[in-house]
Amino acid sequence: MNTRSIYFLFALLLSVNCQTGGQLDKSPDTFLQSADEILYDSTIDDPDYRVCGNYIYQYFNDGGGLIYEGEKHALIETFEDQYVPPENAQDSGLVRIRFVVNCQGKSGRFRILTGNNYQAANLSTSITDQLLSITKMLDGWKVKQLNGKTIDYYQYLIFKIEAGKIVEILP
Amino acid sequence: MKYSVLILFMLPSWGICQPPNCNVFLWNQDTALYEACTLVRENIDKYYQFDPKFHELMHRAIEIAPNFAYAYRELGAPFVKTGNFIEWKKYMDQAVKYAPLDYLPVRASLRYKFFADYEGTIKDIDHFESLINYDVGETSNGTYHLNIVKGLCYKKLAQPDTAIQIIEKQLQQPNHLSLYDHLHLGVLYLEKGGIEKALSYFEQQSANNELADNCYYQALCFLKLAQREQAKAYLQKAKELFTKGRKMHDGYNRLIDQVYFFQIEEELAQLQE
Repeated sequence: MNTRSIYFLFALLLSVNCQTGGQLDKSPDTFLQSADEILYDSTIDDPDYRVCGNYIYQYFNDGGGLIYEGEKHALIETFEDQYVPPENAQDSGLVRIRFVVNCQGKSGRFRILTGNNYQAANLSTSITDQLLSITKMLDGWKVKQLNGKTIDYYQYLIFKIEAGKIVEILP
Repeated sequence: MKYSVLILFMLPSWGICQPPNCNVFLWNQDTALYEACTLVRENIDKYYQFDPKFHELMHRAIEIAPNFAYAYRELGAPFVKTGNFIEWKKYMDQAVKYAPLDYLPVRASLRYKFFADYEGTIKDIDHFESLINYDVGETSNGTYHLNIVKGLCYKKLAQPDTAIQIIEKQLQQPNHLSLYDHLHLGVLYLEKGGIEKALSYFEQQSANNELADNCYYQALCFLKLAQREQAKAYLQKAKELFTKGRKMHDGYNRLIDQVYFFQIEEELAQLQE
């Protein structure tokens, strides 16, 4: 192992140790409900949507972040093309849509969270319905692997809304 | 040297993410905080941050010492990573309330990184600066100095001159470590039409940390100067570096000024027409 590799390895160890929620360095030993887990809800979820394993990882557990066909740019373009800001809309705030991407790259179990100034607040359904509907149609999610196996993972999109317009999409 | 710099960037995050030194609480004769801290320190490595048992541990610590700021920060950590801005802020505010000097810079870093809250980030950094008589230091993950973040916030708030002023001042500080800072400053000048200044900063970025993104912006400068061959060479270098993974990267978010592969290819295609 050359000096450069040793430096990188050391730096990576420091980084990973800090972010226990970053790259997953422990096998999950519990299937109890964890922070922000999305359990199947027969009243709102597609009954035909399936996850492949017993544990749903986070999108950052592989260190790769959000991966989408055509990169995040393609995703942004989709919203630019399809989202129509409601006329005279004054709503501002954050809209988070979180969902599962299964081991085949299919998305499901969508949940929406809205707020303003870090407090729960409703935004007009003419905004949130569009965002949810477009998010559900996104079909470029890439399959993620961890330790050589395809995984199910949680992904989210946050839309920063100002006067009804999308001004930024995260992460 | 380059790799030593990389390690130094990781060190701030090492310190801030570890449980505090419990003996400090004992020294201050706060036995409740000492007990809560010891409980966390002895058990934290057993659980993943998203594990319910991890949350139970932190809640137990808070039951012992309701002012144990570290536990609140840890309770909020998984929520920032799931984009749950409401739950995260609830816990993070408690951490800041009980230990503002430790957690104001963390809250500032995360507002910027996860929620594009540029006004809130500036407010937190300014507040932190008003409380201390030392350097504000780096973000919680060590990627940037907080003054660079402040500059980038002003850029996003459409105040590029303020951004340039803040970032240039920070880069003049002795011992300032830069991972992407010269690139950001170069882009600010490029967007204003200051090509010579932009190129000068991109060259410094290149000497410090060569990246595909930086080569791409260098190519754009040469295109503005109508030097097509130079531009083409930099684009080809950008493509090569990108393929090798020598590019701006963050495991959670897309960074400001980060370049897409298609942008490099599009410019190259136009030059080859």
